[in-house]
Amino acid sequence: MNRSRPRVLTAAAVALALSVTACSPKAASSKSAPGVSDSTIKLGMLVDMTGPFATSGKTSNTASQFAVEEINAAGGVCGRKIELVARDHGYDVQKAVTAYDEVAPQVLGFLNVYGSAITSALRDKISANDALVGLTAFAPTLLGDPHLIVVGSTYDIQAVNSVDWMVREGMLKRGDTLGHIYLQGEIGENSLKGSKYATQQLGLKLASQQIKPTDADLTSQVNAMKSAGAKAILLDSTAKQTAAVAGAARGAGLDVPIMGNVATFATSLLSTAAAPALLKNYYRVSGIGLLGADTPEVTKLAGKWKAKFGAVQPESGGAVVLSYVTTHLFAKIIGGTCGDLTRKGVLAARAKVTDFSIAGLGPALNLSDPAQPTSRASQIHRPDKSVYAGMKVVEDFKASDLAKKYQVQAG
Amino acid sequence: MSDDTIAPPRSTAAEAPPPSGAPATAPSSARSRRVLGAAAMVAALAVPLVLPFYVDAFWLRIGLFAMAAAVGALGLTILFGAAGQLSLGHAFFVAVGTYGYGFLAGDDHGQVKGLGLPPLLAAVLAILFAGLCGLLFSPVASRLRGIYLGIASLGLVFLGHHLLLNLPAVTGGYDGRSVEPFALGGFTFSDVSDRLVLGIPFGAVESLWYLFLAVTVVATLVARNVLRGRPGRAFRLMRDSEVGAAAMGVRVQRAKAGAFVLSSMYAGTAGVLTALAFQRAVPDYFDLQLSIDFLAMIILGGLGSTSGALVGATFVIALPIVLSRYADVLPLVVAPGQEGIQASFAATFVYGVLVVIVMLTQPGGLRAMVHSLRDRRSTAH
Repeated sequence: MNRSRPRVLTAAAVALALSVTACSPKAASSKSAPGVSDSTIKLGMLVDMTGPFATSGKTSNTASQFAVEEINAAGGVCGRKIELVARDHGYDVQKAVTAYDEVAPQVLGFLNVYGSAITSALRDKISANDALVGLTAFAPTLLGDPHLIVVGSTYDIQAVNSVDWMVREGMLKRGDTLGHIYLQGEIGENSLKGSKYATQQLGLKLASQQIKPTDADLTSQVNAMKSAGAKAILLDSTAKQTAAVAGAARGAGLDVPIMGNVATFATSLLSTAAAPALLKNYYRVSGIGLLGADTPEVTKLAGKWKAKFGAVQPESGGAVVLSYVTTHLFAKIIGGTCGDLTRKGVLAARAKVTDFSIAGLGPALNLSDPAQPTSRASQIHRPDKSVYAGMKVVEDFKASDLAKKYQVQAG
Repeated sequence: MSDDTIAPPRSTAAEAPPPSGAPATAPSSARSRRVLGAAAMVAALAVPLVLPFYVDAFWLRIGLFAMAAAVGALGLTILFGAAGQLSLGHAFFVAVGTYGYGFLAGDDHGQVKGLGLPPLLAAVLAILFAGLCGLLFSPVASRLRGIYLGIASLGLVFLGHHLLLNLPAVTGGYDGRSVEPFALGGFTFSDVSDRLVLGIPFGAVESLWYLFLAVTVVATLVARNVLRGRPGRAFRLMRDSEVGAAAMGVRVQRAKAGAFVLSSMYAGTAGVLTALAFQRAVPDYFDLQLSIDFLAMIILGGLGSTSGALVGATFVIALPIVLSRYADVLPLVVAPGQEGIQASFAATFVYGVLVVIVMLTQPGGLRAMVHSLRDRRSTAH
């Protein structure tokens, strides 16, 4: 074997030279826009369908599919049908990065890239590819990048609006203490910026406690809130933790309103032991609308869900609404650049959308400035077992004066 | 590819006399075997070198992850396969490499700090730092053996995860930190727009492929020399009998510490490669699951052998990703988002079943399977 090594090396070098100089299929990749043919426009989705956020991922997928069916039934966009290319990443960055590499060359843009760690892992690639990407996240740090679409108000603005609402409702008075239990990471830390600003402006005191997504028992945090004399609790947590906080507060005799962010509620919470506590004290702030709302558009969407899943209500009504709205928003953006169906064309077309809304499902969205949130309005919800998806509106979309003044720190 | 291993001696079928009836080593078959062998060598050398010109980013990306994992698995196979020291803390040292590189090479971004060193220097320092962490742990590593060390090193994973979440200035906290692309003498290994090599867009994956290939080859050669040389012999003797090793003049505690430090540096190298392949460091990746995956790689591949580590890493990394891409052809699988068995869910089942089958039928690992196939083929002539 040793004797034959030089010959092997020569052969390898020859093979190498031949194969490289020969025409490679990769070189043939043309300049035409990926994902666009004469009859179809393909859009990608990278969501979690098997991991910890599988419910949300499957829901988003179905809701986007509903919207795509509607758009295609009405003739499609720019005379082309929309097709979805969905991949599961199981909330694993490694899988997400490989799935992105697989899907990106086939699609014009991404309707949904789910997960903050995954979004940040992909951001450099997304900008290198000029792709427009919709998100299931409301972090202000994602603003300022024309490639990313954050639908509705950001976490900090939602926190400002919810504190403002609690003061208007008389739940908090000047000098009172607001407790804030927040997740470490993007959601909680950005929300904390909003609660700090609002409490300072409204003459309130703030007591905050950081938690991890995996924490199951939140008794000590709730007790800390009690000893700080909190008159209301602002909550950024997982839906399971909402039940833990409500239960612990009830156990500790802390009978105060709990205001959660959009992700703190799941329909099935109302069939757990925490339901009475939630029905009594829990509220939710949201930048998007409700499935239980009473407009023709929402009834149509809820009707589709009922037709497909029967009595099984969506676990996350918010995910249904968000994906449905985002899909229609994408169709609107692409429809504004039919003459130039390239990624650059789509990026430029986003700024043309200045007043997009679907009645009852979201506030008017203005995408003209990527550095500003697309809206500063939020809705306040509270649970109600008799309403579809378990939530009803307490106050419709409103941007508080405080939220209008608030300076968003884009990333 | 014969290598020094602890695996049971290969089946003697190759050396056994050919079955009666066949002419005793006909010269023509010997020559055709040599030609075949040479062709296999040419392929093994040339295919990885031209691959980036043919396959798309999805496959190259899997290759990057597999090579990064392979380097880590080489370290663990020296430690566990040869020296018999089980470590479940491998993920910790990989994290040290990843975040070490991220911190040393990165610049300040808001709250997240960085030293902004040249990438090559940062990578070398990160690997040395992982080795230093291994050295700090070696007083423990040199006093315990086998499964006891495994449990003791488990603590490192939890310590590491806690530090990753609570040192936001270095690690970026829960959302992680971005990683500076590698650069060497003005050539950046990133998605530079419009860089063409021989008419092919030559972005991050294509350029990183060659970097990773070079690192993997060097790491394999070093591991092979260690395993074949004096240290490897000392490790194996120590694994089989500490008293015997001491009687032969092996300083057992030092050899154990040495194996641990070396394996930590391999893990650190794997960490730097992981950082470059991800272009982002996130804490949730470096949990116990990663340590278990490394263990699965070396056991599935064949304990204590370099080729086993390479094959095992490729198997463990690539199979789930490839399966989930093509799982929609499996029966009973529904389209994404429908109610029923998801493709990627089915893929994990298939993967699990394959792991069990490999372990049942090939106790010596995938490496033994490759060898037995080769031996069977050569006797068939």
